[in-house]
Amino acid sequence: MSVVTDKLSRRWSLRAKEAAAGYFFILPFLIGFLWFTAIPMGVALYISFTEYNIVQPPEWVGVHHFVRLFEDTRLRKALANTSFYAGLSVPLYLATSFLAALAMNSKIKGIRIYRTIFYLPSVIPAVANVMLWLWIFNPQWGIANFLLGLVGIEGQKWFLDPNLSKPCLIAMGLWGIGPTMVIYLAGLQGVPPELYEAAEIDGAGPWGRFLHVTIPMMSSVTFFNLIMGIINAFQVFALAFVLIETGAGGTATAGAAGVQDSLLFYVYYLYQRGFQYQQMGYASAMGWLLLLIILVLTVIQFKLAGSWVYYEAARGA
Amino acid sequence: MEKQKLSRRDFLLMSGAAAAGSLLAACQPQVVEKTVEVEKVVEQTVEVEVPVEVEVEKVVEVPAEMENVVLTHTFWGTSAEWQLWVAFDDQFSAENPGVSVISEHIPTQYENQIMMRRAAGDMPNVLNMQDEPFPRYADQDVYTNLDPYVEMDAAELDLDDFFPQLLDMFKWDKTTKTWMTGSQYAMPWDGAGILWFYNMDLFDELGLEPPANNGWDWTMDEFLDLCLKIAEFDGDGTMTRGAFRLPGWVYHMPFIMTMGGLYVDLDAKKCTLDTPESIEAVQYYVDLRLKHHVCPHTDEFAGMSDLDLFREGSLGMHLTGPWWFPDLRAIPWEELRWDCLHFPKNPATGERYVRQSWDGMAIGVDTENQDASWEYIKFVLTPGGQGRIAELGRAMPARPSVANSEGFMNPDLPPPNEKVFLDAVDYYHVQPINLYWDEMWTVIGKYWEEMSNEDIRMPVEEGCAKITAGVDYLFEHGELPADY
Repeated sequence: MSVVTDKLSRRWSLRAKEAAAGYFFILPFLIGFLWFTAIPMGVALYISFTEYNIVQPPEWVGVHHFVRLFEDTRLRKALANTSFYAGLSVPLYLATSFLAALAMNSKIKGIRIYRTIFYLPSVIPAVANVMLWLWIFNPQWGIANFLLGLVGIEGQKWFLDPNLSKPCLIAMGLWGIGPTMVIYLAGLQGVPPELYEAAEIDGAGPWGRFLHVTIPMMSSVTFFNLIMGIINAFQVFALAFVLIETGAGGTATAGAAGVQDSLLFYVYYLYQRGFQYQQMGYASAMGWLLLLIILVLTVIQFKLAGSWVYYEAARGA
Repeated sequence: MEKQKLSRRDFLLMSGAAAAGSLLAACQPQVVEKTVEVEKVVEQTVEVEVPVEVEVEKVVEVPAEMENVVLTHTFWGTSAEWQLWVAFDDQFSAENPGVSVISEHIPTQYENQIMMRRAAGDMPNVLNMQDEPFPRYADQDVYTNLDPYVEMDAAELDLDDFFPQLLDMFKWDKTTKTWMTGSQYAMPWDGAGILWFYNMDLFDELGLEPPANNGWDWTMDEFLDLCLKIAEFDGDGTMTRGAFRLPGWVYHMPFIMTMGGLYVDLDAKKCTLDTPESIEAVQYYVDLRLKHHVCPHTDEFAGMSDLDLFREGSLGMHLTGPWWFPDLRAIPWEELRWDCLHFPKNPATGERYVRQSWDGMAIGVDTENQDASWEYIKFVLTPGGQGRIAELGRAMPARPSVANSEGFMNPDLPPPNEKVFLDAVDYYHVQPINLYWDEMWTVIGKYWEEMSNEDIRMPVEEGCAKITAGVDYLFEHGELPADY
């Protein structure tokens, strides 16, 4: 008996030691997570139940802000704009990144230069990006209308047209596909070449190999990019902020976010409520609502993933 | 005895010697006896009283609150303003050796930064601020109450030497939540109203005469006629030259107020944009773009700055304040000649109003060295300090005595008639500043855009009604309506 308990206590001691070592190594991350993420989230949750203008102590108001969230028509407009943006930009972004990655996966001379060129736009600061695209989409002198004019199409108002302002923003965003392209590229280079050989032997042509080897093997990467894309799309802020604050979005007066609030995105409205109107309680409630929305969408994606995402390791290969 | 013969040589030698001797004798000064007065220096001790300047080290007692003090001062603005404040800091420190001032430039999101610092307990000792957000922050205890200081130094401050209403514009009553009354929370240091800048070269090119007397007597009808002569279009009907860009935000106040409208009745805390007078005024404003097309549509000249358009003659006029002076003065006079005009009068009533905006300086609440901070504010408000501000040309100094001097009205610098800004003080009008200023403009801005947009063209009655409903709700409930 003493031998058994002795063995058990040695095993436990070993486990405890290994666990302690593990926790020790992840401690910096844990501290950072607690200090910069978990605790602020908790504080934000508390503030969402208060009226807080930053400079005076918070005043408890219960669920008042959460009730207001569902009555706020401008919030609905912001959510609609953001959902439209996410719904259109994410698929386009993924498709464009994937196609670019396929092209960058070629073994041609100078391919590294091409990869760098494709990545470079993503490191341009948001303000410079906006200034550049404002000129491209300038209704009177922009290249976009000039090119349309060459093919006999009437020039558009682009950012000044409430129906086109978001598509213009999406077009701007597509310029920054670099990071997603790199992730896809890494995935493509991880596809075992023998799978292509086997498919070729079985008579699959280029399209067949792409459809039945490349896409399934890339599905896990696509899934990752899809989740990240949705999270980022729902938090779009910088580009819209610069457009609105510079007045380039067509606002004749302060207060509107683009013509007919066409550029009013969720996070911008949250910023407006929190920092311009000093309604931190309401802004915190908005933040938690956004978290819930993104969480629900992510859970849905995970549930659906089983039907289309292929994990080689899961199949025991 | 044998006679000794004199040789010729000897004879010549003797003769030469005799001649030399005679010559020397002849050159000798003639000794003349004369009486010469000789000054005789006599040393004598004389007692004389001589005033002597003696430097006496004067011992001045430096108050304890002005010793070993470091003040922080925040401001926004251009690099030229940065230099102004650095110069102020240096001079103040030179005159108050125990105090050093660090002016911190906040280039953007100024009010937000101040709020964050307030929340962090890191308020600056002295902070510049605008009049528009003043009531909100005064109500939220961001500024120190200056009543005791003003009362103590009233004589030194010469309170009569401030433009009308300026001191009141930085007063707030926390009990009644009323602006321009109650306690003093900041002191004004510069500002102005907004008037017309016009491109003299363009006027000459078009053969247009500016209104007489810098527009002192012209009316809105004459103004519209002038605008119609400036505006030009190409064959497609696209504007190639506009009279001016339809102003947004608070810059449309002169049109509305002059034509009889009023945004809010602050006493009643009620929006008044739905009155017939206000609707008519807003219609006049909107028609400038949508009916008369003297102002560019939203897509015309998009992306171009007002300054660039004014400079190149694509816009004939621009409505703004003297803060445009530094940018325009940087352009050589030969390239662009410009001047200023009064805002035109209502043809029916003869009245006119323009929006005035002033900046103030306040002491951060709960900061240390409040007395030293007050001394710094007073320093900026001295005639010398105001003179420096006038020379910057950013705006009018708060003191009429300085604004009327060559510091502001510099004869060597354009415009030729900056005096219009002084004369216009008679019709400067305060803005409807209140606790909900930002939210109010969110409501106004949303529908204003739709009323003046050439594609949307929301009827003015409808737009004004929606604005009024939204702003009234805001005033009543202290928050934006859910369905605005």
